[in-house]
Amino acid sequence: MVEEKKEHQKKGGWGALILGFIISFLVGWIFFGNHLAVPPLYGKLTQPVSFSHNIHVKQAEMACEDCHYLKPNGRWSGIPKLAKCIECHEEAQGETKEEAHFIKKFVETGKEIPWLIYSKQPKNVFFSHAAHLKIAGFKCRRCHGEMGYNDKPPVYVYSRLSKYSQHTVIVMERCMRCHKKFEAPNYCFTCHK
Amino acid sequence: MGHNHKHQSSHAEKYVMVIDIDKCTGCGACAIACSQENNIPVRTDETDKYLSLNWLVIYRITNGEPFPKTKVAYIPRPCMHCDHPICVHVCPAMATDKDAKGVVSQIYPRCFGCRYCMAACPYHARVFNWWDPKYPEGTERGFNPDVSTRMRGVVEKCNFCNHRYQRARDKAITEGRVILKEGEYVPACVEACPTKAMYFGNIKDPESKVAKLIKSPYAFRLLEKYGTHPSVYYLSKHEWVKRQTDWYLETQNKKQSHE
Amino acid sequence: MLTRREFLQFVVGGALGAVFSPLPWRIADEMVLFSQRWTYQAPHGEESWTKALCQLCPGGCGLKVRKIDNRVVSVKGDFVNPVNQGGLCPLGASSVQLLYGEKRRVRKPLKQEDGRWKEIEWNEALDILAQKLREFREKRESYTLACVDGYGHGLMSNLIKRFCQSYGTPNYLKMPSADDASSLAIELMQGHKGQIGFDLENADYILSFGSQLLEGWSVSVRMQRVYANSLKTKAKIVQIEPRLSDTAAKAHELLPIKPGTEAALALGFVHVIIKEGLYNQDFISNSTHGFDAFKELVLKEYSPKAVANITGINVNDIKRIAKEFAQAKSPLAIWGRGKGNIPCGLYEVMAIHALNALVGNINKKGGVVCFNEIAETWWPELNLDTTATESLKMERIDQARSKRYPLATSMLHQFAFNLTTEPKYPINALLIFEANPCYAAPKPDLFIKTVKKIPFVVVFSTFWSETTQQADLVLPTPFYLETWNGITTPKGWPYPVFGISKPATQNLYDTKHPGDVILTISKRISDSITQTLPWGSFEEILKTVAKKIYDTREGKLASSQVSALPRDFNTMWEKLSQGVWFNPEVKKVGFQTKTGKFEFLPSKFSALYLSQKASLPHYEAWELEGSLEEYPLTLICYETLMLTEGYIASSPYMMKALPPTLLKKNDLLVEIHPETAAKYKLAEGDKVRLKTPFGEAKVRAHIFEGIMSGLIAMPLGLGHSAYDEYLAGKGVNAHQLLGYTEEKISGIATWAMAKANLVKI
Repeated sequence: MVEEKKEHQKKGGWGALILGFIISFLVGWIFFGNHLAVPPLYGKLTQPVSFSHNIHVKQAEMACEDCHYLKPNGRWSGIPKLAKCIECHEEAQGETKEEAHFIKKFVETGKEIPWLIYSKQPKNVFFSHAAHLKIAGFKCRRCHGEMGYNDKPPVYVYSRLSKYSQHTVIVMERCMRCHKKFEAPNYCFTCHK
Repeated sequence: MGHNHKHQSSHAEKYVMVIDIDKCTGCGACAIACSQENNIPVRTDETDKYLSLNWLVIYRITNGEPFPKTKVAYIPRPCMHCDHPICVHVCPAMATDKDAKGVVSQIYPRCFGCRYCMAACPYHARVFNWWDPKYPEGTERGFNPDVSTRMRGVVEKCNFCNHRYQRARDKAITEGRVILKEGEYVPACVEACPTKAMYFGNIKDPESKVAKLIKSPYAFRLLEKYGTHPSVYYLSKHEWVKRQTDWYLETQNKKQSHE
Repeated sequence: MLTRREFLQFVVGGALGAVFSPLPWRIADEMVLFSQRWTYQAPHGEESWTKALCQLCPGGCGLKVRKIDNRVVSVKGDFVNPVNQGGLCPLGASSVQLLYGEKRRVRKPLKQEDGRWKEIEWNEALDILAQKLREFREKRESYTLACVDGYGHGLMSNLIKRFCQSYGTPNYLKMPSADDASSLAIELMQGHKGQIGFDLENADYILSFGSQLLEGWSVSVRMQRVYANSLKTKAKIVQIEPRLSDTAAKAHELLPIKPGTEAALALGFVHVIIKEGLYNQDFISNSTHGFDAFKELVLKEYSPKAVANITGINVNDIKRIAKEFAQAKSPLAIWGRGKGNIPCGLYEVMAIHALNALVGNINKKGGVVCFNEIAETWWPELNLDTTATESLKMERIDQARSKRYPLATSMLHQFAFNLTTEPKYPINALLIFEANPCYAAPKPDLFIKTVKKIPFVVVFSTFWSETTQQADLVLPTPFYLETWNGITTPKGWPYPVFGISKPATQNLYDTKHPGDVILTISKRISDSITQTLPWGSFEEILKTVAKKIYDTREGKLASSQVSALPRDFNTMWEKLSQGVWFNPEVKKVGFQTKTGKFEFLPSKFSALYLSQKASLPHYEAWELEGSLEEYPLTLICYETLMLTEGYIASSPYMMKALPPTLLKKNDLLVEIHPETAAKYKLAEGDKVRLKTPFGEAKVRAHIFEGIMSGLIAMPLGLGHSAYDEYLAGKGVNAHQLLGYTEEKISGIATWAMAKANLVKI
């Protein structure tokens, strides 16, 4: 009896452990990680119009505030409405395929562009651009990255389970940590409604 | 909880509501303005007042004299936003907290409906969604987007129209200041009152109307004996009103009862 | 094959690997987010504010409307408006619910076809209406058209009246209210046919004969403010009514009076004032006529003791209140039961107004003020063609202005009664403008029978009311937030006001303003009507009135602030659409009677060959139907702020605010005194059958000390059978039980009370 046991132990092998570890490690990183963003958990979509910030900022020489600004009543203007685009794009301004498609599908029909919003927050969240820009003095890049200088909009990644965008902070803990660091209030009603 | 005074306005703000019972005629405009502002549901049969969802309840008391000498007083009762909020202490989900300006919050996704807070609140200020909220067909178009609608199984209560504070503060920040002026932030009920019996403001601002009113000898709070230190003060010159609301014995006078 | 050890290792390895990957955190976060059961949240959008004037009662309170994109989300009071000064009432606060509540609203024109409703286009609807009306006119039967005006006063009301006159029908009817007796009394005693205002803001002693000041009389928001001010100015309010309404409880003093005997009490006060010599000698001797005859009658028949017997009020109270009234600086006696919707008798109003005359408080600060407003007087002269003139000579169906009822102007109850018994001629068409007589008329079942007898009934309505259900053709009208409208002087307000309410949001449904409809079909009926109603749209009428006001250069504008009239009309129109014009310095209208004085004994009565007593203000007991043995109790009705009387029914939020002592599930609770309850062995909430000579209903008992013994009180405004599920089937329609009693001299019918009996079920 004792010898049999000793023989079993001699066989040893953490093979199964390592195998299990590797499998779930890979599954975790591939299917649940943000970097690859593959189904079944993640879905990818493209914006309805391939808007190039670069063209508008460099060639059309527009400033960020032309489309994204703090309104006098304190609310953020967000993504501009079709009326803003029509100010210039009543007729084609360039020769790109994307612009032609945009004019045909949206300007001529007068339909609002159904943008997929990267930074969309849940319905019970009150996010104040005024407080973050003016009091905290943040620049846009801090939360929106290099969005303002892209050639075409990044692929919109969302979770199929919760339907929320994956490009932004969605978990309250991340907001609270930053608030703590900058000594901003962390009361519930600071951000919720 | 950060308390850096440079970035916050909250150290300079403590919001308080004052209701003049003598002026109040019980018209109910405040309750309906509150319902409209906060997307409060209505059921077809609202006669059972225990199940009725009302953030601002108007109580009716009489002076006990026989007809025709009977006098009536109406007491609008929003959430008291106590300085020692019992509901906050007992909530197991931390779905409610008290912020620096004095408002006690209620966060619906966090609440799981144990109703411990409802048992704790001595003012019955909290109501529970037993069913999915129902609205008259078509009135969803009139919803206020600044206020979340609730789902069944959560507790809700008056929040001093905190969404109006958020908007007012945003506007103030855009204009380059952090402190709100008097009248920039008022809840819907105070705004609607036709007799101007309701006042709302920041008592840390010595020039505000409420700062002066709470010092009035006619000011009192409901159930002060419980030590909840509510943020809602009432004014009344009538002894019979004070006795029924402040609750002290016939043989005591008000000062004695608080010792 | 996997051994147990290997399996366990695999699992543990898997768990460790998961821990070092994002898997558990992602799963946790996603589950949290996924499991949030969101109900529908309104989308965010562009916030904007616009101004409007509330038209849910004849008040016209100024509103600021908050919109998100194009949706109205809330209304709040406008501080600058002099009428409401930033306040709201429950009905105004529910505006958004009334606007968007789909179930109640009529969305498209409808016509009855084979017992079912068929949606039709406006073209077809207008064709049907114009064709029918032209047909009757060409057959010289214009008088067979009848119109019911739900507005009461204002531009629409005058437009309907003008249309009726130029079309050629004398059968123009109004929904009954206390205004009938009020305007008749003032016309007789002062010769004034225009606006009557009460300067309550400056009165220091208010004697209210059944007027529920805090529950909707005049403009409810204004009266709340008057009450709040009275606490500061120490003005005294004395309420005279049989039950402890909120007004009575909040007033300084309540005199509980036997219902229907208010005239006797007023004359009792007059007696004391005359006896003590406390009346305004100057005014009486210089500006009144018939005082001696009046004095003789009052001193003989209305001593405090006699009045105490009739009214049930203590003799000492009568003497004391009369003296307090006469010795006050600006005493004011007011009338108009409930919100002013429950009619009073002519003699009652004359008796109460005699008090005002006695103290000389007419056209003075703090008194009754009489003035004319441009919105009523601007209409150009009527040039009628022969068809109309001939047709107008026919006697009205309700016999108003006939030998039998020389003083009456409109009697809805007689219209219904005569039409269902033996009318002189049939009525071929009935147009009902934003009114609900099939619910709110006295004896509503009789009115429904009347409506069924008329072959072509057209109802202009925003809501699906009881009357709408009886129509042959339904023409939907817009809610006030969706359309242009003009606000004229609010009821009881002491100086003229005119405002324009712009649409706050676009038309939700396929509706048309009734003014536009009248103007459109007038052009299709005949040229002569086109001449008398030449305007293309209602908006054009509003502009014309605005211009007339602008031309007077009088008054002020309250838009974003109070200012004088601007120098060009376009700016004036702009500002009017953002607020109101008002003129506190309006010229008061003096006495326009034959004698040029205030007439206690109206000259107009001499043409009627009445006895002297019948020509003076005196007390006449209402002759109630039913015997005392069969109906020993009296049923009275009252009005409350949360229940609206007729066409614009209470919103769901208002129904929610009803106290549990009024409604229990769908049962109405009627107020019964503990003594009466003991006699009938009733406990709180017991089911009873309430019987009157006009009907019966199953209700529950609410034992209430705030009512006189022998009386039962029930509110007006419940018992609907239309609108939506928040209103229909709840309570009992008081009109079904109250019937009506007619005052002979004026033809005015009141339903303030009825004989009743209780049976415990």
